[in-house]
Amino acid sequence: MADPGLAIDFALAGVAVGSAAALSGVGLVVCYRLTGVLNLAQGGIAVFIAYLLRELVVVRGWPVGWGAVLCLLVVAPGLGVLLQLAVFGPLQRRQAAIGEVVVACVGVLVLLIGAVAAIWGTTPLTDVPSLVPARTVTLPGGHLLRVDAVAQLGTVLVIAVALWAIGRWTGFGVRARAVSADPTLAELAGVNAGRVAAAGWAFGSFTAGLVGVLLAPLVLLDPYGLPLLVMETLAVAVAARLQSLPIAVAVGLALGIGQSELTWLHPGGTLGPLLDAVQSNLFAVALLVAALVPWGFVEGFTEQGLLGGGGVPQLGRRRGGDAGWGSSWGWGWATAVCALALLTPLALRAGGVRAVLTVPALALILLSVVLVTGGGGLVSLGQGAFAGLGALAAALLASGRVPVGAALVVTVLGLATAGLLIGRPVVHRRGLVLALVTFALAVGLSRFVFEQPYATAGLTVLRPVFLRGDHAFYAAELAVLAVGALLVAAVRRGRLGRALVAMRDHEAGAWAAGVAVPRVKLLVFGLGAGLAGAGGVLLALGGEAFDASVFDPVQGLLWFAAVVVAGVDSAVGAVLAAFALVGLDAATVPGMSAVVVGALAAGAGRLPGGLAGRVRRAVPG
Amino acid sequence: MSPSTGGLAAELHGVRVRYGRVERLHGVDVRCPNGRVGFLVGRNGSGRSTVLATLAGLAHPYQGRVTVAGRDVTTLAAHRRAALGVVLVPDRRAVFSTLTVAETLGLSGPPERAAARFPELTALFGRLCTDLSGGQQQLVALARALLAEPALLLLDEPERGLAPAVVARLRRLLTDRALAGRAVLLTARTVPRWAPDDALVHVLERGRLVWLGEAGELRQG
Repeated sequence: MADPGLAIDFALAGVAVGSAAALSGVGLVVCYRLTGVLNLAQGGIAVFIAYLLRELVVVRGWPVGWGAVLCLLVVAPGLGVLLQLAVFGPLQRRQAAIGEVVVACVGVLVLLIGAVAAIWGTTPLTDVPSLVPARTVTLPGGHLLRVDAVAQLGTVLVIAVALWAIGRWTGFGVRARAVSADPTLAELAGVNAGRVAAAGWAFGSFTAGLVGVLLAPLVLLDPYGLPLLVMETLAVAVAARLQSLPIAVAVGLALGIGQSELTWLHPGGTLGPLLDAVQSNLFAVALLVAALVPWGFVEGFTEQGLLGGGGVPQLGRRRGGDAGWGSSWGWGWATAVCALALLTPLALRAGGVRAVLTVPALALILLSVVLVTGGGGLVSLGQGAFAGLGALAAALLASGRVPVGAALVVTVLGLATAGLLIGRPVVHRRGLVLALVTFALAVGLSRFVFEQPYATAGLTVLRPVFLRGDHAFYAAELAVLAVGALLVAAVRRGRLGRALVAMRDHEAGAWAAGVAVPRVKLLVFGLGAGLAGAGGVLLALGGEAFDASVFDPVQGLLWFAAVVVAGVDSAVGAVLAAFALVGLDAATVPGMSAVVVGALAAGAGRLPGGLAGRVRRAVPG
Repeated sequence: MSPSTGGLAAELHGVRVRYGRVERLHGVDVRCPNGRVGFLVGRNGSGRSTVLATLAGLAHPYQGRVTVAGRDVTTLAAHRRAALGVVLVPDRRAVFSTLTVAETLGLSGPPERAAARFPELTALFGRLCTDLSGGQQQLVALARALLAEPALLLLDEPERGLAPAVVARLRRLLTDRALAGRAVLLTARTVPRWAPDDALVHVLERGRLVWLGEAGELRQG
């Protein structure tokens, strides 16, 4: 070990990142308490404001101070109020389920990232202005102290103390706390809950923007890196259980300083790469740990607040009194249209088939969301990660020259088992907590497996000889998709399907009716993992490569949103959504599908039941 | 309109309310005259709570009108109706989990004034509402509602969990409010013995109004 003075220097260096993370946590907690929404769009707001400030200061030549005032005190809060008025207010008024709120957040996130990429391009930028000039002062003992870090730390502490004082001593604070405890009751007491929520969004957007502006000079500014970095600071809010400001500040600072100290350790040997991965992804580790630690001790967490506990009871619930979720309509002519669309590419020339090779694979992954979320009411944001595991397993097996059919079977069975194992700690959670845990799993898998050279270096994926041709492979994909669809149909129609509907609609009632809820949830989770894994295998074989960026957690969010937009209980919708995702990107520019899904998802409040629900209402019977 | 001159504090005209696909109220008329206690009587599921929710603005009718002091408020949000003096105490534990008793009362007026009515509250001022017993929580909720000096007080089974002495005081308070020209509307399973003879009784059955008259008429019949 080096001299202890160095530890202090590293701690001081970590304060900058730590205070930004703390600020992010404070913003998330306050926004959640006042609006009942966990602001998953925070990363999008952060990157948008960071780019806007750079545009004003670097391109237009404004002074940093005025630019910051406009961005942070006018644009960011205005954006927050706009979100409340246009997106989350309508959802709140009809007491939308947690799944819809999550989807709306993802929609806003994707839209903002897409807008940034469209306006400012995707080239990473280095000339990002800092709010406080990066000067250093020398402390007694020769330690260097950065002025900007001190200013950031001071800002965080001032904001936290001011929030506490407002909540404790002002009339608005007491009214806001009343709304956070029970919005309906607060309305009855004459409190305008919508206005409090607008204030919450304004503050949440302000902190998101500030976090973006503070973090941007520390990293390369590009439309995709910064949002994920900001989203990993979800760990701070999750550790604070979306309640405690002091814990949020402490955890944020501790993580920032801890990350800085880990660079100092830097061990060699076989553990080196793993520890390096931990160091550079400490926030991802923290998110995983914070999400997996039982939430039980937060009294009534899932019951209180605007969101309620259950899964997605209102998502896609049929108005027509049909009890099942595989109605005759769903398996009538829509299935025929769908099958026709899937079979058409077989008649195309080789180039045409190549373009749609990913469609059946993606459809399988989306089908797994339909099964887990639409059927089981479990909001799982981690299906993309299971697909990634499938792809990785296929790549590993194919590199070892195992026959591809065997590889598929082994992978799917292995993944279903993995789903059961991973599912065990997961399925006892509900609603928002479940969404968070699965998202944390996706982030963890992506950071520690898919993106690490020790797991993915030197993988070659070769299709077996008889599937070398694109037509043959596409036909094989269709066969797998058909098996998957039949599996989903079988689950829907049987005893398990009825148990699922019971569980989704009223969990306590399902328990009382003799449904073994944990076992059913676990089973569905395992089946979903298997389906998604099969999709991943096909994606890897289709592209003849393992591409980590395909299984990025944000990509998983996009897939989830696409299924909900299409109609979360509609298998046909999932297949058509896969076509739409692939087709939009191929026909226009990559990322267009994200923008379209984002816009539709942000408007989910006005589209109950998704597009499939709209079609069902339009087509009687 | 001054409260002492009579008239209606609020009224439902042919209100139909739907929760999801189920219609809960099938065209109900309810009148809340100033200066009288009103009762909504019926079994569970007869629509009593839905009537209160419609008056308070938590449920919005898809047909029919809601008026408060002669003004059409059918589309007005709950917090605006509260500002017009329509105050509802629901039948669940209607307190805020993160506020102290003093803060809860402070939402509607100076807490000391509530303590003058219910002295047993003074000792609880600094406690969190969720730390109280069910009866104490109900007392806090009622005290807050009364503190708002509502033109129309809507109470859903208000006596549940209260100590007998407090119940007696509450009944006296409600009768006094009516004498002072304000309107009060309560739900009950049957018309209670303490109801004044001129209390206006609405009997609901399966979402319909089946009888409207004074408590005295019921007693004679």
